[in-house]
Amino acid sequence: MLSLLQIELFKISRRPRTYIAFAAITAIVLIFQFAFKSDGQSYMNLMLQNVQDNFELDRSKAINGYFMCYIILNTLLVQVPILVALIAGDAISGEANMGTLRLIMTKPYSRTQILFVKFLASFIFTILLLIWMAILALFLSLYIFGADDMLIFRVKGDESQILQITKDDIMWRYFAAFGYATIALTVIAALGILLSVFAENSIGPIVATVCIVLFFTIVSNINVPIIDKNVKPWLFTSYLVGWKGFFYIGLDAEGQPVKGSIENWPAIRNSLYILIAHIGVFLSIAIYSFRKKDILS
Amino acid sequence: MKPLIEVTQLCKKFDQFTAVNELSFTVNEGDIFGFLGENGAGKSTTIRMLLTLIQPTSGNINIFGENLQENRKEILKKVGAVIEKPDMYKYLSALENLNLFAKMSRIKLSKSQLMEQLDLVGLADRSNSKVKTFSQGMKQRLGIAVSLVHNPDLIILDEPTNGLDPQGIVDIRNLILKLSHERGKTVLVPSHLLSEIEIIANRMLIINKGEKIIEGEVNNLLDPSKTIVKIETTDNKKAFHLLTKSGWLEKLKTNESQIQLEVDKKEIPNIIRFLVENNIEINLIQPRHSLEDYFLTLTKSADYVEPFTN
Repeated sequence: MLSLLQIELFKISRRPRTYIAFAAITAIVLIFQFAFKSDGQSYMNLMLQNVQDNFELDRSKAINGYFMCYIILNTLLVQVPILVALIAGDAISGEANMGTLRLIMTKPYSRTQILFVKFLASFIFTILLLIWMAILALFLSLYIFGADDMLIFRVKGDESQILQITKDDIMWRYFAAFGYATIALTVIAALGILLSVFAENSIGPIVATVCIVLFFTIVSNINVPIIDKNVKPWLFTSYLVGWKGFFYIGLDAEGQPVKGSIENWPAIRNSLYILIAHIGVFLSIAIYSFRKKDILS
Repeated sequence: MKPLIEVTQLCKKFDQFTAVNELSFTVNEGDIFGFLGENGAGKSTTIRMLLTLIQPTSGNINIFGENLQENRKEILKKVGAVIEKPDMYKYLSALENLNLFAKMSRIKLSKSQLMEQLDLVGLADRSNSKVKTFSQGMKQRLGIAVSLVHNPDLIILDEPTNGLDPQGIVDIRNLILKLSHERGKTVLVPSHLLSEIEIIANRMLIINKGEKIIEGEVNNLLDPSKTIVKIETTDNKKAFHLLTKSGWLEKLKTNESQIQLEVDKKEIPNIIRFLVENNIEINLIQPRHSLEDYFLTLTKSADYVEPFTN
């Protein structure tokens, strides 16, 4: 099966489409960095306009590599599912469209092996995409903007909060966040693979995956109690942004940040379980359907 | 001869449509087996079932003496196939495609061994060209190379001469004969090119509407004494009447607007001589393919011209 995986990765690496995702991420990150390097202080003033009087900090250091990475991830991790869908949605349907699926299926591998290898290849692609994002958004930002304490802006309930994390307490949070993002994006990969099983051209499953993610994301962002309670828990997109939880630092009784703590680890853990369950369900349905499928392409 | 493929009572239904119905046949070791049928007759569905691309509704397939469903992986290791169009990865070169499918067949070949395979199908000089630049004929050749790359015992070549130029057709025909006669391979050739099957196959099966029409030795199924000869002259009416009065009447199969005779091939020169001696100018004399007529008779195609009867 390892050789089958190598073949799959070789095929992905030779397709021009693969590099669209890396190019898109590079372009977006560079634009962010250029914009904040040129005029980041205006952004920071805007964010701090309501807290200027009661918050002590050196604003010149507020825009640093860690802060930049957080801002970039906030934006990119909503868009990256589209890039993952480009590869995963094409996994089976692309082969059917090219006419190579029937040739692969006559090779001495089980259908489960073939589909699982396709999934693994999409998973590895997702990891590589996130590593590339980490290199650009985190390490390049640290190189350009330097390292310092990080400010996190968030709305909790009815109030706006600013959390401050000391610079020696940040890096592990990023590793954890990227790990979480890997699981979250793997859900998209599994969904793409599942839809790919039923189609014989790439466009359908890619568009369908993106549409499902967009639709669910929009619903996930409707902040109405009835949706919050009855709908959001059932949407996997509600858990895609769970990586932010690693940056919500725990506070002590006096409201001071506790180094190395996370405000709500059980919530993050439960979100991870739900995401992993989604991967399992999507993949199981995909394998079941693929094993039963008549290859007519 | 030892049976290599044994198909028994094979059925495939797509909802209410029966694509293959109670089909049974045997391909023996070393055969070049022609699998004939019109478009939609059920050839592709049958081949796809032989390659486990489609699940049969019922019936049994044994290959190499083993049940296909139970020993799928082991059987497929020994099978090479081109199914319908020979589609490859267009963004890869011929050599990369061949190497990729060799690895997929769990064998590792050196570059020189891969080049040998490409040379066998006349593609060595285009080994580094991307498949997207290939003509249909070149893709066909590459497809055949891919089907042979792991040295399989059973080779299934669907319409192997599709898209090839005349020289390519001869080359592939010779390659198939060589694979069978020199290397002892069994070759299954689904085709609608009857002339091709007649030249290369030793046994054949004809199916129509998913059902077997006939199976047997090509030589036994064909009768050289019943060649249909189509004749076009400058004066068909006169030629027709001359032929009816001169002892050819019994052999005339059609009317004066379209002259066809069922004769032994050896009699064709006599017919030409007779017409010329009677001042009939011949525009065309065409022995229609005996297998074609045989096939059309069996399948009752719409194009088939019913024998003339008085």
